[in-house]
Amino acid sequence: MARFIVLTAEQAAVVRGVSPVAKWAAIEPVALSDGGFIINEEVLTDPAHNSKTRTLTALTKYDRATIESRLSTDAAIEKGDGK
Amino acid sequence: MRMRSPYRPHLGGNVAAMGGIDADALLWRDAVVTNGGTVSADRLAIISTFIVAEKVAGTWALTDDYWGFWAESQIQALTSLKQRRLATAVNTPTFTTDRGYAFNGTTNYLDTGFVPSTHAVAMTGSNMRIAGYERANLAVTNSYTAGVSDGTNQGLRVGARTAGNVVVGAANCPATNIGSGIMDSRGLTALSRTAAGVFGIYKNGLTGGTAVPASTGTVLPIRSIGIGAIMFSGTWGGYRAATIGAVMVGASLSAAQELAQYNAVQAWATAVGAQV
Repeated sequence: MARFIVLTAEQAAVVRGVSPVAKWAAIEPVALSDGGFIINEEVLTDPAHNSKTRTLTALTKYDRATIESRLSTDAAIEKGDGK
Repeated sequence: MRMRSPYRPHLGGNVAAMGGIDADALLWRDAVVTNGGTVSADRLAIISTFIVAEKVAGTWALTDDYWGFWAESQIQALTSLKQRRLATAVNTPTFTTDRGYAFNGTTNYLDTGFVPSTHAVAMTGSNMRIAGYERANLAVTNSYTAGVSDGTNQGLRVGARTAGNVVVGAANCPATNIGSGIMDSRGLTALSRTAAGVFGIYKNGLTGGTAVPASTGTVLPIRSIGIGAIMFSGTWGGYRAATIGAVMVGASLSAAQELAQYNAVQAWATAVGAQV
């Protein structure tokens, strides 16, 4: 199951951006409704992002269900499917 | 296994003399190398065969760009075929060689860098098309295979299957359901708006229905096309936990060209073992 780590705005600012070693890879933390941010744990082990994320590996990981209520991005999406 | 030469004498200037490989395939190969990657001779032949098939069908000229994620490497996958633009893999979607990208439906996506208002050539604000090839069956509402939206009547996007078993999408119109009984998101799903104003979908080259949207616009989107999620007026959303092998954008195709492009895409997928 996919897991995520929750970042503060300051931590998000540190890791955000294009990889210094792979110009085709980037990190863009996703905003939560409460001002926090998340990234998926695969980012932490991606060699393209090692230099940015090594300080985050010790943080607690959460499954999607745990953070579900804090996700906000899809609320902005215009509804399809009969809505 | 060696591929048969894609050389087609009647195409004249479309095919380079160098080993019978299409000139645009060679340019794509060079772009991949410039981006830091490599292309095997067999893969170059496969790409050349695909491009030649597109040119024969007249769909190459009508399609502004292609992404084939069933590639030998991420750099190959992210280097678009026609405009040779390098996409960005955001938040580490899972890449599998010769298969494509799997997205988590929450945080990751590809940012193609293709901005319709800037990079469209064949596409116009009233004649547009987007198509995506999903490799795993997925029925999720408010999630998009690929696209962009800058507002109600300014966007191009397609979701291959919703929980209500329809295709959802937009071509400078509000999100609109098209088709019914779509029980499988796998394969090539195309959504288009023709110059005659017909909004419709094609599933694996065959028509899947039309719809009349609530309203329409003619101004091309000003933000980048996403894959696995869409940029919605500056915020990424519509995340889709899809497995995607290819995407293409451009102008609408005729019914015969839809089938021809599906056959070419399927042959490309089959050549690398990614067909569904």
